[in-house]
Amino acid sequence: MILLIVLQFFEFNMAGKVTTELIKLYQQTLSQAQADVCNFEPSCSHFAYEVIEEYGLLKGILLASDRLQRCHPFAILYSKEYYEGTIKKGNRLKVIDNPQKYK
Amino acid sequence: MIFIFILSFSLIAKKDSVKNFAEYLEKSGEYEFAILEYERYLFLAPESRDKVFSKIAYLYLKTDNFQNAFNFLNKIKTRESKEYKAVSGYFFYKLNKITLAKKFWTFNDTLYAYLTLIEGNKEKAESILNEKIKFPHFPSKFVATILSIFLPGAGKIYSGRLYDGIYSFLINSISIYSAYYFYKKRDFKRFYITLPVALFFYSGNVFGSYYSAKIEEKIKKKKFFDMYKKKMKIKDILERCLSF
Repeated sequence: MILLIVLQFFEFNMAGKVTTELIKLYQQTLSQAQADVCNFEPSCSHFAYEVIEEYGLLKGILLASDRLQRCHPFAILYSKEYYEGTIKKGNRLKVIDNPQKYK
Repeated sequence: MIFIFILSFSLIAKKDSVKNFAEYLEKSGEYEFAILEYERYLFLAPESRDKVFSKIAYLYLKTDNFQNAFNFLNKIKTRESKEYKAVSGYFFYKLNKITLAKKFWTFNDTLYAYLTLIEGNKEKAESILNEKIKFPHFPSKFVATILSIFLPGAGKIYSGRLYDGIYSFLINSISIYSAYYFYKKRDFKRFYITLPVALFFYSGNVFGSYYSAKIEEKIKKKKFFDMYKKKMKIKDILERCLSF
């Protein structure tokens, strides 16, 4: 019975949906409470949401984890070579990292 | 406004002036307007049908419109012509299907040599350019993955991203150590919270190292082959094949 529930959970991509809902919840609560701290555009949570939606739960989580490890102030040094340039948002210069390129 | 101007101009213009204007638009990078002009030229000079179709297909490829390029290529009747072979080869080259592109670009030594260079065979390109070609070091995805398994962050440093590697190493060290610390203290409640976090970052580090090596390889290859594309004047050769 438990196995059946677990199988259905993954078969209908319930796990992915639950994860994206949790990310949404984070964006509406914790993320709103803190300042704009992400070095990237789209932000890490938006990136995670998009990659899970597009590439599925497993690859999405791996890409999101990798993204969090790339989100540091020196990321701007790689903006020309590895990313799609920079964009000014508010007072911050953000690095554009398009989720589409991780196909 | 430009469209109306082009339309009115082409209605009164003669064959050659339509062609010259199309060429001017092409040189200015206005490929979509150039296509419109070439279509009008086709109406005025139906005898150059295949050559114009090749040109239009080539311009569609320049705008990355593969479907329209394919449709125009299919309209060409003389499949043995230089134009057809040049554009078909370019079509597969743009799609990164080098083996298929080679089948079409056999008619020109330089074009063929450029494709063999992409495949890793530099001899033919060396004989054409009269210079020794040295391939740059492309990071291996396998090595980057293995390195990151044994030392988190090392794979990224190997791929040329020093700061990403250091940051990844710090995050992984902290998360793995905290899981180990709570395990050692027999504080299983905290251990079961910190362990998935450590696994999350560790797996992301391995996957990220693989991806950064892949992206680095792609960037270096693009730079290297673009340099030789210029040196071997591939664009000029293609345009010469398509001129009429």
